Amino acid sequence: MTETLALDFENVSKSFAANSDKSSAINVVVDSLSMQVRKGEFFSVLGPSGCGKTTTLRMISGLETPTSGTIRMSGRVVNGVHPHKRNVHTVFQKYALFPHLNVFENVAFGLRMKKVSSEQIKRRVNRMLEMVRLETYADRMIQQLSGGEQQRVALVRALVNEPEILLLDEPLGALDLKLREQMQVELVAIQKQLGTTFIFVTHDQGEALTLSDRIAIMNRGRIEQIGTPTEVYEHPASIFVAKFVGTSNVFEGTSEFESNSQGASFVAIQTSLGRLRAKFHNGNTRFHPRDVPSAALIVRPEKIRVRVTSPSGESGSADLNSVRGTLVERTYFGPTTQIKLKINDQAAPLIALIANQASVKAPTLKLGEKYYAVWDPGDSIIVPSDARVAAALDAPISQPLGSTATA
Amino acid sequence: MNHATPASVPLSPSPKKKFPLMLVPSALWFAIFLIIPILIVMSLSLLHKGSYGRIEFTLDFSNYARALEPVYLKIILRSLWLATYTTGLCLLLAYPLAYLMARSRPRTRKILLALVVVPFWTNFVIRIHALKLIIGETGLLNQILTELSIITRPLQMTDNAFGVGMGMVYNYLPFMVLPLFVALEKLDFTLLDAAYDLGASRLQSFFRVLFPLSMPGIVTGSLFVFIPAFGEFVIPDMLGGSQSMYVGNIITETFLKSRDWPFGSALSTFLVLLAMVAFMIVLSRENKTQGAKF
Repeated sequence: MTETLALDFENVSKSFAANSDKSSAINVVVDSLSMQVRKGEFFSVLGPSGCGKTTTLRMISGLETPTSGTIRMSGRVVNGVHPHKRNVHTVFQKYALFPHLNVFENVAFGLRMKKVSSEQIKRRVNRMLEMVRLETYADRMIQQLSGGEQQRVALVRALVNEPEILLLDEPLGALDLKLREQMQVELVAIQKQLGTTFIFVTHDQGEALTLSDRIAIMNRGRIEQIGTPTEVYEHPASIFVAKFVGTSNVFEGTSEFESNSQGASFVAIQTSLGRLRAKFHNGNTRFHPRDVPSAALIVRPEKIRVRVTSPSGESGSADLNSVRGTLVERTYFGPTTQIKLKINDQAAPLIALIANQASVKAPTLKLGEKYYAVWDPGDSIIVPSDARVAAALDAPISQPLGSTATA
Repeated sequence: MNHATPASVPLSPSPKKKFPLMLVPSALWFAIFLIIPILIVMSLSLLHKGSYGRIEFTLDFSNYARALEPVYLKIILRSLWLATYTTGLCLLLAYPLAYLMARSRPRTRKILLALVVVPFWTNFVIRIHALKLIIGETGLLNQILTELSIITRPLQMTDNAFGVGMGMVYNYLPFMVLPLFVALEKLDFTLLDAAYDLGASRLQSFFRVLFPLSMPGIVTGSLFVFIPAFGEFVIPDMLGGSQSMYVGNIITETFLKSRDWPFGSALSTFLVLLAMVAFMIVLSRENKTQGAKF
């Protein structure tokens, strides 16, 4: 079982002495983090800046030592093992290429440290440079390269050492959009080709969704959810995940159990806008309302239909969620149109994304007019309002490896 | 009809570079106070010494022949050695300090920087005297060591080569620290993380990354120390005792005591040439490793 795990974090915490001269407060940057990464996986750690993801990365590479908890690599405990004794290499945020060495020597650096024979170094470095189409650049100095080329040098400088785990610390952040998309494709291709475990740290949710096999979403030093891009997007485990990955409409309130005459069960959230429902089954709701009274209903903008008239009276409309609001903003995206409805005195407007071939043509919607936003209970997700409760609930579902994780 | 092809039209109004006006003050300064005096010294070195320190305007190369006599050659070599080990010791002491300064928080950095610069607020001669009060025969250090019964007789730390070395390092250290600090401060320390990440030990990271990247600072600092240290005469005078003779002392004596200006000039020219050679070697090496700069 364990040998399929490239990396295993068990309740890992890291705290620093607070960075101020007066107080002796402790700053908890990573808070009892548990996660498991399979061999050959493209695993992303996604979170806003300051969420502890870079510290997590540095603990994997060995540049930081955890304050408590256990880190295992291929089953071996590596807490406190010096970076050069682990088979982990990093692609740094701003590449950190050596400006005094040429491309070849940059890539060869790790092999030289390992005292690999010079002919082997030559062969391996050239093979890597060929892989990223930089074989003619071997003699160039780093500052003569473009951003994308530097990025590729940084990538192969790490990969030439054949790491068990390759860490990528926001490696695409410094590139412009087009180059970034190009590099994304290249990254995935290289990862599949080599079968190396990639741990990719980013704050860009789009990037994480596109590239990853699985994503861990971090907030304030804790993991809020681990799952495939689809799981994370379709079934966010917490309000934070719902808001951070994509756009979400969130309605907070008290949750209640409900069933209709046909025998279907729902979780209803009593909000200031009335009752909003979600289907009661695993995936949409992961808990019984009696256990978690304070909860939120989440619905993605593209699941919402916009109507001029109330849906009540239509067949099967009894369980539909429906709220009414004033159209305050309309943004045309081409294939879709995003509209914002201001509902009563709610601070955040409801966001809906309408495909432009839908029956109600978005351009005909008028600003200032009132419309109904309607969605199916099956498209609603219920999550606990408290992130910690959400994380505890998420644990058994999203750790399919069935190991020692405690829920 | 129109024969002027685009290529024949000069792109810039004139290929001749204009002399920038703002260089005039410094150029004048250099000409009057550096280049002309050196030229005077150089011409003096080719003249003949008359009686009572007068100068006879006859061409005479014997001054140079005399400068190469073993007595003087030995002193020049001794001075070279003094400058070399002063530079080496300063580098050894200054590097960790400059590194610490570059990596410390702004506040700590300011304090450290002040500590390096503060001695300059005191006159040079007074500072050397202060050092004498500490390491002298009845100085503070000897008193403490005697009180603690570590030694029975005072250690001889002045009026010998040791005293000269102490004075030299003490005085020239800041000239090494500051350029090193400037070079290290600009350095991207994630490069060290990258080196560790690629399997380098601390020592390897230092010699393969930090050291080559701080080379510009090392070179500047070394020149700042080496060149003045080579001609230094006050410190040997004050801390070296009567036996201590370095090229700087010889030159001052030749000029002021024996009033032999032509010979003094020959020795000075020698010094200038040696400094220039050292400088050229360093510069050419710098140019070869152009890529190392960023």
